[in-house]
Amino acid sequence: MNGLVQALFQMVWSDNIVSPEEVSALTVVLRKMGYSLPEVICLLDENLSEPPAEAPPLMLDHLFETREEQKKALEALMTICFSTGSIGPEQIGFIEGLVVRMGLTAQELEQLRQNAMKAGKSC
Amino acid sequence: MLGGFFGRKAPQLVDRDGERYDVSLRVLSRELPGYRGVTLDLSRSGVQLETSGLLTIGSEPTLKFEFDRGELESFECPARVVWSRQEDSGARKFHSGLTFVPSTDDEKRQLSRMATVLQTRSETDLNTLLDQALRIDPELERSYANLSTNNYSQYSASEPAPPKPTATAASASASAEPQPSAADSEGPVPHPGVYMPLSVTLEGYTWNRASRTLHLGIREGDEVHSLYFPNCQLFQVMEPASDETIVGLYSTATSPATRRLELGTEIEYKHYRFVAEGGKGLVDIVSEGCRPKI
Repeated sequence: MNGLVQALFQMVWSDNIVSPEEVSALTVVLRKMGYSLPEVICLLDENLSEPPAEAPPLMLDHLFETREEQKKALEALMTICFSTGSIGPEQIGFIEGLVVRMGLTAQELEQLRQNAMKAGKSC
Repeated sequence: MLGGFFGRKAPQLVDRDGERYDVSLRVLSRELPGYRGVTLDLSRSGVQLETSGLLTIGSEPTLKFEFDRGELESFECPARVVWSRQEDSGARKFHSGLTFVPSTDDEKRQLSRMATVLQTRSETDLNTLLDQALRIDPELERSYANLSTNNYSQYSASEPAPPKPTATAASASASAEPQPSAADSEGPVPHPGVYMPLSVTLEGYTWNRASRTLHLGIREGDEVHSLYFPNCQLFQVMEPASDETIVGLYSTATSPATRRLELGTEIEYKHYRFVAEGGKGLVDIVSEGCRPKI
């Protein structure tokens, strides 16, 4: 499982609640990443039907070399975050380090948030 | 606040000129291996870089920082390599420490400006950034009303009724209950499984008697996908299943059927139920975890 996919599942589990909106958003994000329907079904089944073992948060900014790749990863994570219409404190904690190390401006963050909200609405 | 901003550790003092900030920026230079590097930390007086090769100690590459943000423009500054080492043997990751050696007033001003911006940024946090974003467009305020509150609708679904744990492919009618539902329960049930929304139809299935593997063909638009259910112990299809649209798949590891099958074995079974609109069960499968391919 690649780093971003792992992070997406960590994000969904960050508050120990898997909401239907998050599952829908995750399905859309994974399909956009190129996973086939059976692959998505198996990934969701494997990673969401039971809580995962404790794992350290992934340093996504180290996984992705370019700023554009980092932004895309962050946007995918934010799509999951905002799929429920709100963002929980645990989820904020999850992306905070990444946002900060990337040195995003409020404008950039807002743009990503808007993109994520749009993507979330289409889920 | 500093620790909160940077998540994992507070900036470390490195010299009298200021603090070191964990910040990831792209750096370009003709003198760097691969012509580029990424900052691991940055201060007014120096930078730690990750590159794809060792740097020569004492060399003075001119580094171009790409900030890609409003407060800071990209700028160039010469720096001297103080140390350089391979981070992991075998990995093509090399870390180097460089001291800035600004020679012009403009370079000194840019470094000073960069330090100020990093300092300011270190004294805020994500919530503050989001608040700042609000001020960019006050109309968005409503969408932040639930910020820092956790009001997810709880996902809960009843357990599937216990289908007969027999390995038949008969067209026994799958129980119309339970109906996976996102909001029909009073209290949260801890991790009862997962419900995956789908929009597919059942194309067909094949059964490998020797390996007990069930292959299910599901049609999504013009495409037919395959899903494999190894060590399948139960397969029930409701007669008109092929005519109905499957709107979801419910999966749980804790149905009565799986519990019964797991008694005295090490095998972990899953109970899958493909459901139609309204939660009507169309296909029930008990097997080991499904796979996209065999």
